Amino acid sequence: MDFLGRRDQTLIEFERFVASDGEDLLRTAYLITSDLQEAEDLVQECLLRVVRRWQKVRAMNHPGAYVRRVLVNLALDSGQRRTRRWQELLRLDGLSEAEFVLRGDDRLDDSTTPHDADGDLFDAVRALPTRQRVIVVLRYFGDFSEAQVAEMLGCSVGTVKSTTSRSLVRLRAVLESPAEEAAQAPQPISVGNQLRSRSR
Amino acid sequence: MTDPIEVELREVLARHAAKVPSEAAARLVEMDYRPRPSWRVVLAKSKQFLSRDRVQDTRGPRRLILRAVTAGGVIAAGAAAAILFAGGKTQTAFAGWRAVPTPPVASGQIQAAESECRRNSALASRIPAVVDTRGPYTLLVYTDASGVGLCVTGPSFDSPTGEPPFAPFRDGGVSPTIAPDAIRSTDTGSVLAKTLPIREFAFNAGRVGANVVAVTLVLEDGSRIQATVANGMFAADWPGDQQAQTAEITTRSGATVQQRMPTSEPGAQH
Repeated sequence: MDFLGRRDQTLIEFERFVASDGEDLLRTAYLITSDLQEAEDLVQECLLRVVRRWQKVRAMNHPGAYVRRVLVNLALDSGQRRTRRWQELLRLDGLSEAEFVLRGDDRLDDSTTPHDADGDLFDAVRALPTRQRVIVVLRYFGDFSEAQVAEMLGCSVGTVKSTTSRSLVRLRAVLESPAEEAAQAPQPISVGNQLRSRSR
Repeated sequence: MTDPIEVELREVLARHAAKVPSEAAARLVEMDYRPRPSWRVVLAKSKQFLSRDRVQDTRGPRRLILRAVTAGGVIAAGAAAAILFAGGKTQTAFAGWRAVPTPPVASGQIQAAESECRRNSALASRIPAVVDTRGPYTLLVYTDASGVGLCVTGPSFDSPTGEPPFAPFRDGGVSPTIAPDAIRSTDTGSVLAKTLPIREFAFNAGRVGANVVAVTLVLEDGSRIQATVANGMFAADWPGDQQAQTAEITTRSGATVQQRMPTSEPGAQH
């Protein structure tokens, strides 16, 4: 017997939840991070946090929504830390950021050609700022409503709408000029500096 | 009617999500989620426990930490973390930016920004109405009968064409009437900076009423950005893509007024 304790009914229930929702959580995390290892770490961290509160979480109307809320907030927090880590790793490896992107070590779809429209759009999603990417994934993979996403992120429905709108503008621009994007390789998406998403 | 990009997005995301291997999900299920005590307790108990029995190999990542503790691996783990972040300060995007306007950090910064912005033909002979500097970042706001134009200079904005980000003049040409204690945002948006991952640098500029002496924009996450107010206008910029949700307006009398900022609606023309 492990010295940290025995299994109990609560834990058994939690494990059933992980069995039913774990794959979807992992896929969501992968789409947000584009890195399978990081996605696994994120989901594990999420579940380890949730299990401590499982007594309360299991009594909620939608435990799955709460767990996803924890997951996306961890993803948002880790987004900034990941950027700093990438930059330091690149410096230590003597790589340029463009070379790092080309390596694409942790992507799962190496068979996708660089100029394939599917790859272009997914690359464009990867290149979105973390918050935009999270909202896009929740809305278009998770099929959550704007209200549900707003609750997960602790923001207003209007903010979700406007952020979604800005994201779609950027993604649409990538699809409309794939040749231009390819010509600017090695970056996965053009970073032309015209002022964008201007509104009033 | 459904936007085609939304349809395609759903399909692409679903296809990529389906590539997550099943064994990865299986690892999640196999993990031991029993709540752990603090690492100090783990350290103390591990020595006691391992001295009388073997650790059963049935657990997830935390088990590895336990082993590392007993084998002196904490030091190794710490060293690994140090390698990741050692060797000099970590570079962050938009380093030097401040939430309040600052004096230029370099001699001639504003003049250099104006010179850069004049490379856009629309600004060739213009003088900015508002100059907002935050560290090495300079936001210039121009006005004329045709409206308001903006230009941003600073690190990470170097484009292949050599021109800084520029927004052409807009706003119809007729100055709207603004209440004395109010502001009217005429330009909100963002610049895509040349960093990886791509980062946005947002801005907000507009006109102020006759009694307004200071403006502080409050973003979606509560961050407060003090704007530059000059010549009947205000301007501010900040890293990220958040929009300003409210403005705290200070008037000549010292009063503070709250004003909700408009947000863009889905399908808005950008």
